[in-house]
Amino acid sequence: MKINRRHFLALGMGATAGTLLSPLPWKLTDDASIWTQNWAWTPVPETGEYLYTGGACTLCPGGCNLAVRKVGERVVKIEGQADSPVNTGDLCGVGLSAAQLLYGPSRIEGPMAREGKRGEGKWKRLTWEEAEAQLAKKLNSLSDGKGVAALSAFRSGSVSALIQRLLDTLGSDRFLTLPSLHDSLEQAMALTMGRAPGEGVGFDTENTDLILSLGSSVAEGWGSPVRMVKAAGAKKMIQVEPYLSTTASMADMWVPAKPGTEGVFALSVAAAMVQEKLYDHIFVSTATEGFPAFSAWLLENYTPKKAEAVTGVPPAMVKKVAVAFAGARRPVALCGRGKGETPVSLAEALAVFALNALKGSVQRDGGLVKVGALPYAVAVAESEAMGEKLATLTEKGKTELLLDWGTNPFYTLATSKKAAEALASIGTIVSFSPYMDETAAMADLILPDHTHLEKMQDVPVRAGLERSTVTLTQAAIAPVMDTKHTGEVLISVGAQLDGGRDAFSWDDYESYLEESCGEMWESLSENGLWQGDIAWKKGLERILGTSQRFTFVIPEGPVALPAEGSASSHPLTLVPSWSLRISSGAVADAPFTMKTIEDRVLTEGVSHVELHPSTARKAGLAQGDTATLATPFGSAKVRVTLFEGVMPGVVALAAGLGHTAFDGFIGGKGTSYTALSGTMVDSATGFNCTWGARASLAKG
Amino acid sequence: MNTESNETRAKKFGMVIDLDKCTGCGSCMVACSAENNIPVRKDESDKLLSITWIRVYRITNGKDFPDTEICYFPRPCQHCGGKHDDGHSPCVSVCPATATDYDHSTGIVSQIYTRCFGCRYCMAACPYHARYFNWWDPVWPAKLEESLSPDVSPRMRGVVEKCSFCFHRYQLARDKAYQEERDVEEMEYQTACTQACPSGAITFGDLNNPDHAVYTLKKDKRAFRLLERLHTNPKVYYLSEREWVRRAGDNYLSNEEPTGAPGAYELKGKGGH
Repeated sequence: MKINRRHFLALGMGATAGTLLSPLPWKLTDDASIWTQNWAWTPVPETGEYLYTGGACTLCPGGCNLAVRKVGERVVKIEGQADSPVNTGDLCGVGLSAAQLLYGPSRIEGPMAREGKRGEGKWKRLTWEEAEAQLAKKLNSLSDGKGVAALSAFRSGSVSALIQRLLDTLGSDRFLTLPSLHDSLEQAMALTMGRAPGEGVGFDTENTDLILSLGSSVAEGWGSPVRMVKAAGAKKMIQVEPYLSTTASMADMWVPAKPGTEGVFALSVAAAMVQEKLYDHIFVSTATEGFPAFSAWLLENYTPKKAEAVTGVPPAMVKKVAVAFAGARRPVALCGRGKGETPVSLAEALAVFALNALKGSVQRDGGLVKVGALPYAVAVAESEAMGEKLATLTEKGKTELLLDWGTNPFYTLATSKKAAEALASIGTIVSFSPYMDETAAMADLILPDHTHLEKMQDVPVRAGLERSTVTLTQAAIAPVMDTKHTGEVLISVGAQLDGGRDAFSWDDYESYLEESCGEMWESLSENGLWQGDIAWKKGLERILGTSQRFTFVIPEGPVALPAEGSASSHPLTLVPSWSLRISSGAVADAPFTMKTIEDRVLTEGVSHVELHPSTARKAGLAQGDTATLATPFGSAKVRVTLFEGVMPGVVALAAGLGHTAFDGFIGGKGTSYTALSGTMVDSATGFNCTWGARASLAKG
Repeated sequence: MNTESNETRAKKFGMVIDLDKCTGCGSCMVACSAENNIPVRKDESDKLLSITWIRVYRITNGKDFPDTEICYFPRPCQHCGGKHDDGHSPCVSVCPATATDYDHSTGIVSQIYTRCFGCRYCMAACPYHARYFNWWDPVWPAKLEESLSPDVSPRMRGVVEKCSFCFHRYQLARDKAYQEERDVEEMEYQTACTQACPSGAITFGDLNNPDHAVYTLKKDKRAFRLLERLHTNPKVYYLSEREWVRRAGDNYLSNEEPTGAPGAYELKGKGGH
C-alpha cells in the first residue's frame, strides 16, 4: 500500500482525536500545575483567630488611631480605628504599611556601636547595659554641656520631657524639634491673638464651607492626612500653587501663582476685600485693633494690580477669589506649602491670619482657632530661638554630640551638600531610631527604640486639629528585635549622669508615663485618646460667637522669600510635588507603599522631574530623556516627564524619595528634593522656609 | 417580576467608585496588598512586574496649562459578567484549566491558584490589565513572612493572580451569618480597599439588593463603566461629574458622542461584537 497525503492526514486526525479522548491532556495540565507550583518554600501562614488591639501611628504628625489586627502573636494588618475622632476608621498608605516596617529588613537588631569609619556600616553589637553605660560615660566626659544638642520627634510629651531634662542636667538648652509650619503659625498667633505657652493653632475644617489653601497639599498630606483628604473630597476649595497637584485639580478654582508668592497673593486678596469693602465690618470694627494702619499698608503695597508683578495672577482672578472668600459663610484660609513640613515666613503667616480675620474666621466654627495647651504634669519648656539653634546644627564645629530621637536629620535637615557635611562633622552622633535610617547609618552609637507597634507611649498631636489631642501607642506584640523604649533608656542613662540621680528618680518609664500625662492619663489609658475642650465654644464665646480680640500686624520681614542664585546660571525654578504615597518625613516608605509610586515619578531607581512641554522644548529635552538637575545646593540625575499642568519655567520633583540608608526596597531610589532645596532664612524667625530653589536642567 | 427575597436571591457583588472624591492617595492599594499577601519586589517601579490587584491610574484631560485637570482611576478586577451577564467573562471563557471561574451565586470571578498552570491566556483576554503573573516565587525579606495573613494563600511561581473582591471576607461573614441563621449584612462584607479609602470614594455591596447603597449609586446619572462597549458587563461602576472623565472610560473617538442615558452609559448604534 502506498502511503499518500490522504492517509497521512487521516492518521494525524485519528491521533488527535485519540489523544483528546484519552485522559492524557488532563493529566498533563494537572501535572503542569503541580510541577510549576509545589515548592516547599511557599509559606503557609499559621492560622488563628483575629485579635484587634488599639494603637496610634507616629509615622507623621497626623495622630491617627490604629486598629492592629493580630493572628496569634503576629501583626498581620494595620487598619484605622473606626471610632477615632481623628481618622474615623481610615488610614493612609504609609500608616497601613507599618507592619512591613515592623518586620522589615530596615530594623536594627539591637544596641550597636560604630566600628570602622563613620557611615561604613560596620557595627559591634552591645548589650543594653554596655550601650547605656557608654552613652552615660560619653555625656559625663564632655567638657561643656552646651555642645550637646538633641532632636526630638515631638515638641511636647513624656519622652521629650525626659530628653529636655537630660539636656538640663548637662547644662544645654538645645532641645530641638524638626521645624514645621506650626512654628510660624504659633509666632503669628502670639502677635495677633496672644498666646500662652503650649497653645497651638488649629483649623476647624469640618465646619468650614470653603478652604482657601495657599499652597497646602490638602489632599496629599497636609495636617492630619486622613482628616484633610476627607475635607478635600467634601469641601469647596481654592488652591494657590504653580503646579497642578491633586488638590489643585480637585479644587473648584486653581490659581497658579508664581512659586513662593502664595503669601503675597493672600495679601492681594485681603487688599481686594478692603478695596471692595467685602470684609466682615462687624467683626473688624468690634473685635480687632490696628485695622486702619493695616488696611492703608495693604492698599499702598498689595493691591491686586501691584501684586500681579510678583505673583503673576491677574487682578480679575484675585477679585474673583476675594468675592468667593468673602461670600462664603464660614471660609478658612490655610497656609504651609506641601505637607506643612517647612515653616513659612512670619510675614506670610501674618498675612494668612489677617485674611481670616477680615472675614471674621477666627475663633469660631469653621475658622482658624486657638488650640489649648496640653496639660502635661511633666511639661516641656518651649525653646527660645529655635530657628537659630536649628541653623547651628548645620554649621561646622558647633555641636559636639547630637542625640536623635525619630527626626532623621541626615535626611530631613540636610538641605545642601554643605549642610550634610556639617552634620557629618559632629563629634558624636547617637541615634534612637528603630530603623536603619540615614542618621542611624552615620551614628556612633545606636540605642534602637521600639516601633510604635511595640511600645506604649503618648503621642501629642500637632497637626492643625481644632482641639488639643493626645493619642497613645500600644504594644500590640512583644518587641521583634532587641530594642528598648527610649523613655526607659533616658531614665537609666539620666540617673547615671553626674547630678542626675534625683532628676531621673522614676523606677521605670511606665510609672513615669502615668505621672507625666497627669489628668490626661485616665482617658488615654482607657480610650487611647485624650482631647481637650473646644476652646472657642466655652462660656461667653459660645454666646457671643467670639470674644477673641485680634490685632492686625504689619509684617516687617519679606512676605515672599527670594531664591538664591542667578537667573543666568539657573533659569528654572525647582518646586517639590507631594503625594500621600511617599512619606516625606523621617521614616521612609515600606515596600507596599513603594508599590504605589507611579512610574511617571520613579523608574529604575531614578526620579522623574515634571515640566511643561514648552519648558522642555526650550531646554532641548523630550519625554523620557535623562538630564542633570542642578541647584546652587547640589545636583542629581533625573528623567524627564512632560506634564501640561506645570507652570512654564518650573520643574517639579517628588519630595520624599532619594533615601540612601534603609534597605534595598526603599534605599537608593530616586533623588532627595530636600538635598537640593537649600536654605531661605526668614529673618523674623530664623527658620529655613525654603519653598524651592533656582535650578537648571541639562540633557545627559 | 422578581419575587425572591433578599435572602434567597443570587447576589451580585459590585463596587461604585466616585472619581470626583478619589485623591489618588493609594491607601486602597496598600490595604489590598496587606490584606491579600501581595508579594513585594525590590524594584516596584517596573510596572510590568509589580503586582497590585487594585491599581490607581492617573489620567489628564490633555488640555494645556492652566486648564489641565487630572483624575485618578482605581482599577480592581472588574468581575465581568460577560455579554448577557451569564458568566462568560473574557478570562473565564479562555481558561483551559478552569482556574478562573464565575460564581453565579455572588457574581465574583474566582482565581484558583493551585489549578492555574500559567498559560496566561486570561491575561491576554482581560481588557482591563487586572491580572498579574508570578514570574518568580515571592521572597519575603527579613521577618516579613510573619505579617502574612492566614486567610489568603501566598501564591507561587507560575500562577496568575488578581483581585478577589476579598472573597475570604465574604466567607468569614457568610459562615458567621449561617451560624446565626440570617443573611450577611451590607457592612459585614466590605473589601479591604473600601474599608481603607479615606475619602469615602469606594462603595461596595450587592448590586441586586435594593437596600444596599451600590444599588442606587449604579443608577446615578454620573455612573459609567470601563470599556462598556466591549459588553464585558463589569461589576465596577465609576461616578464622575466630568464629561471628559466619562469619555475616557470608553475610548471614544473624537467624533463620537456618548449617550447621556442613566446607568449604562452605552453607545447607541453599532459597537461591541
